[in-house]
Amino acid sequence: MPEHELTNRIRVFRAEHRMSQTDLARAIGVSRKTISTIEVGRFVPSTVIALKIARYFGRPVEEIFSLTGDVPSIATED
Amino acid sequence: MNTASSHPAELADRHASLFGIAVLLVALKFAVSATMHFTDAPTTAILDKAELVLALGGAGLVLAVLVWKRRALTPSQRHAYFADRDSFVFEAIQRARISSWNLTFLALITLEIFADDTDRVSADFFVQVALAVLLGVFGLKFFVLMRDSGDEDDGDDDA
Repeated sequence: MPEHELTNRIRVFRAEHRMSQTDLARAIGVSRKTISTIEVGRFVPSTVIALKIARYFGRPVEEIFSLTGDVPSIATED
Repeated sequence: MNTASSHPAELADRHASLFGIAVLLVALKFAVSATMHFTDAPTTAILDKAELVLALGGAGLVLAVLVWKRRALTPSQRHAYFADRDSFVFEAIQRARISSWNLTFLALITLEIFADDTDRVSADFFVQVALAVLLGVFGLKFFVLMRDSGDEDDGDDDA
């Protein structure tokens, strides 16, 4: 298993808004396959797609995408 | 208004998939050509026809895809979606290219070793094998990635 893995809650947000993958794909201008592979973690989206999805749902990107594992932060180094 | 299947992003995905099929047909054509160096006359005659069918199929599919692309999308849509590299299908193409390059390199090294030991086979054979591996690995890898990506959507969606 990789040290860091990108997880997401797109399916949860879609369910909240009663949207299909096709609806979301069309809303942000990508194909349904792109959305489905992001959801299952097979495709790591670009920053642009991640921001488009976050903006579409009106949430911060960290609320939709998160990284597993520890990553050093400059905020905790001092 | 576009239906889901005629959305430019979906068309771009389908275009890439058809292109993958065309590449596989051309790879098979080269594999058949390479095999013909070792077959007897009757078998060669059959393979000759198979090669022609594969070549026509591959070329016809590429042509059909190009014509379809021109008809289905406006110039601005073509520019936006075929220049856009931000999709799973484009990543699948990139991964297939990498596998294809790696295995072609190995195949060429192997062929180079055997080429030293034989004068029986023409240079054509080695070029045909290299092209078959290059295109065949690309096509197969692309389809494995596309198949594994699943199409399990919208069964649980009631939107």
